[in-house]
Amino acid sequence: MKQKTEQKKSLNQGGKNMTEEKSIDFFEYFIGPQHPGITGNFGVILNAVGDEIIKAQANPGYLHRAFEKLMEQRMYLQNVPLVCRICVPEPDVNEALYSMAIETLTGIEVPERAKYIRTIVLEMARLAAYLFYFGGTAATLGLYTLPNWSFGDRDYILDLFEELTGARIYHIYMQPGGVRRDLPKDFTKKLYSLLQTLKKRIKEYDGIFFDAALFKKRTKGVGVINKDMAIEYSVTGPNLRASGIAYDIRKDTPYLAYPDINFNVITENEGDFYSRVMVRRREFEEDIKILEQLIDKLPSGEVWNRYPMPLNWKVEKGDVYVKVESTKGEYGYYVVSDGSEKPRRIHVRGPSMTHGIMLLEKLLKGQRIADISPIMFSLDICPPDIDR
Amino acid sequence: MAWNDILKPLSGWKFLFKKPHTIRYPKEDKIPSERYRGIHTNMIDKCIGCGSCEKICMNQAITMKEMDVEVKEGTTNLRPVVDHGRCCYCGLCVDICPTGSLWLSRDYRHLSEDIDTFIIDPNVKEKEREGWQKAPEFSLIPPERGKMEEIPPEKRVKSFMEVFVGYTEPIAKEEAQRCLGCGLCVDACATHMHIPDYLKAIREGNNEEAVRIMFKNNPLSEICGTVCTHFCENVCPVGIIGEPVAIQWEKEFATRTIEDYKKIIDTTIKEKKERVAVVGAGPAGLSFAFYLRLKGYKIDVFEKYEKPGGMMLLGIPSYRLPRKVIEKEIKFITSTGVKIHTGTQIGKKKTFKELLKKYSAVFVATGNTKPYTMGIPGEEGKDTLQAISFLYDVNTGKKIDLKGKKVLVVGGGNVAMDAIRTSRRLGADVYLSYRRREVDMPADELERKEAKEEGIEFMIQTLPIEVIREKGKIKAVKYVPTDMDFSEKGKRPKPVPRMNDVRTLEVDIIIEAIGQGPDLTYLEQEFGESLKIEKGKPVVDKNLMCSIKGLFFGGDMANKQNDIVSAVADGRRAAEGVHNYLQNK
Repeated sequence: MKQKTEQKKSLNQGGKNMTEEKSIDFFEYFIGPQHPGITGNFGVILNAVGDEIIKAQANPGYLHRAFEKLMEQRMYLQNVPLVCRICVPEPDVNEALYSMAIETLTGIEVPERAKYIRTIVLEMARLAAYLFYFGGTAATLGLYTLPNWSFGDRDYILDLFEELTGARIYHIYMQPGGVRRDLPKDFTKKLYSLLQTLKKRIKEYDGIFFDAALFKKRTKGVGVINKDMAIEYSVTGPNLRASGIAYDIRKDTPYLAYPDINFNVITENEGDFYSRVMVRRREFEEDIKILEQLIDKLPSGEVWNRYPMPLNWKVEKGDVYVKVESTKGEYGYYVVSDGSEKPRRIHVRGPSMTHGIMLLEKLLKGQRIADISPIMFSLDICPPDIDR
Repeated sequence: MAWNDILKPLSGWKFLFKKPHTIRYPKEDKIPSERYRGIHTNMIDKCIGCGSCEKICMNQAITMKEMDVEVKEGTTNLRPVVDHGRCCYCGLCVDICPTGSLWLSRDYRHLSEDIDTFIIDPNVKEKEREGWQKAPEFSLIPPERGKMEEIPPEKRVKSFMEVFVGYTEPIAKEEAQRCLGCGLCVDACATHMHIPDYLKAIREGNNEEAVRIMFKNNPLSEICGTVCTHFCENVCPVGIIGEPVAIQWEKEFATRTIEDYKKIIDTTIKEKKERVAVVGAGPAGLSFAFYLRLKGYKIDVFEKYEKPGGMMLLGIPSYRLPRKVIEKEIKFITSTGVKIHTGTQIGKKKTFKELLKKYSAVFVATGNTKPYTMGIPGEEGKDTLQAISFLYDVNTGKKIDLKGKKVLVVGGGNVAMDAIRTSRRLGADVYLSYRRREVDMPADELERKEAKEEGIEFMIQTLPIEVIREKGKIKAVKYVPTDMDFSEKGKRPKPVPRMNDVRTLEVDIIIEAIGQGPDLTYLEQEFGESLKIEKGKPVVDKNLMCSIKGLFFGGDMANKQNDIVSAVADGRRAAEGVHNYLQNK
């Protein structure tokens, strides 16, 4: 903590006796970049008068690992294990986007079954990311039962991921042209029974958290994003839907198997902290329905169409922007190929850039210090995707 | 806000007495899934040391290190060592491994204060397979080679038209992409052509550069692209997964696109005064002449026949090796200043001794011209032909009509294949007798496939024992089936005839294609015992010089491989040898 002072100089009339008077205008606080209360290694510099924040300045950069630059120096396939590391809680969107971009550039078709498997993976990752979100948000409010429950339940999804892909967090499962292996035996059965468990569990979550008076009291009317502000600040994803705008990339520009799936776009009207959490809470159930449909409709057949030998693989010249709906908002990749073995440029459009810097700075103004962490968590900011 | 909202959270208490669902480590252990990507394991004997895992690794976690292992043909003594501080366990190394020797085990724990222990040697002799393993259908190497247009067999057998169509540019580029760049083929090729380098040039569309790389080691690249024993393809690791990279066809494609080699290959020569003679204008002699000429020596090549080319011209039928290809490459060699004197046989009017006096050095590469015979009763006669003389007659334009005749060819090498397919084209019904299994045949697989398509009957594991003649003419052949004796390890199985099961096959003509050796009569007459000979071939040192100073031997008459590419390699080696010899004289 640092004191910012302004010196008020008062000179007496004669000019002989000069006195100095000091008064404190505001305190400057550093939140982060250590992890507690922060969604990753990320910082916010606050100017506060008493408990009220008068200015907040985002302080990113602590997680910068130069992904975009590294990708320019690796062969196309070598980027597949790299991209998933851009977002820890929901890595699969990166794999899907990277593969989709390469497929658009090269014209490699994805088999129908692979499209479904990819969608299953994306939706499973969505559930896992939401469980992570529920736990994190509850913990910032000091309600520590939910994180213990939801992280434990998330592990069941990770177990299934491990069975399917061989890894729990960084799956490295999707590759251009499809996926790396077919579903293991009885996978859909196991997934279906897990979905039934999760359906029951979410009701239990309601009891201890979503319906709890403590939660409602702390969150209603806090950090409001109204419709106009949401559009002005390019808010996307559940945060946008919490402000009453029904926009979902899965519905509006469907990709993979989403055109075959029926689901509702969930919206809330208030645009406050509570709405942002409740949109996700209701989407959780909607995602379970999507997964059930995917299991029912899963076609048989191939799961991968070959690309050339990766060590000598040159991708056709061109550029492409692809986007998907992640739990954090619109995730996009802009890939430029100069026709060589390595990409010329890959730009990652992470939703956390807008949510975590511009929007957060705006929202924190006028709030109290105790609400900083909850507001940040409610926006579901993922600092690694700010520092690409 | 209802009272219910305040009371509901208390529902969480009911879980207090439930059994925990997390793993109670260390009492319980986490069992990783079947596909788990953990610490590497590599079967040291199955690994061929191609280094593909090292190339694909995005983190440079894998380093190929020299190890104490037996180096067989098509392998190296390099094996992977993994730095687990760098590894991200993506498993791309497993998916690209052509042999499947490498896999990621279900073992995931390694705890140590010493960072050096994180560099793990994954090589083991034997271990149970588990974890993330190679799945053939998901291998990162495309298993199938680029398809070449084929002429239907019914059309092929009607004439001596070229069977080989060759790659088109897009397919050649695509095929060149399949190369892993391991370079195992370079060691296997007799001439050690820089195969990964020219394949790279081909896929980049730079055929001129590709041809320049080829001609550094082989001045008969187009011929070798059309007919070659392609040992390079036999060791290609891509072949373990599917079909090896079509190195031979790639070579043919690149050379075919260049009309005049003179325009792209630098042949500026700094003249030297020494003169060197070459006897025999076959592949060895031509390659020798080319490389020594580039060093500045004046070269005279003496050839018995009216045209240069040797066995390439006289032995190989034109459907397999078009004459324009031979002419194109010889034209380039002569354009460097090599003089070829055709119709001049050394040993008769001019002697080898005269050549040795007149020239600083003499390179002899007259090939294998003396055929072996079976030595069975009734064999001798006009209608028992030797494959190489038969092919010589056909290739020099002698009219031979085999229409409606039954021909039995004995042998299993490429000469036998040429004999059966040539006879078929001359209208005969052809049978092929070979004493071992089909896999043991030295003949090229493609040749065998095409021969079968052309309607030739393969009598595998049979041995002729007697020729029955009536009024001097062949009537039939008595033969017996054979069994295989595998007692000698590391060698081809030994055929054991089943003498109590004699069968007969009616035939009109027999063609023997059971091998040939060099004809050293003239040399023996001139040099007597001063020329050392072992097993029918002159003894040579590493420079290919024999016991007589200044006299060098190469090609089929000096090596065991008896093929074009080895002859070319001999020619190049002898050129170096002669150069060393003359410089140190």
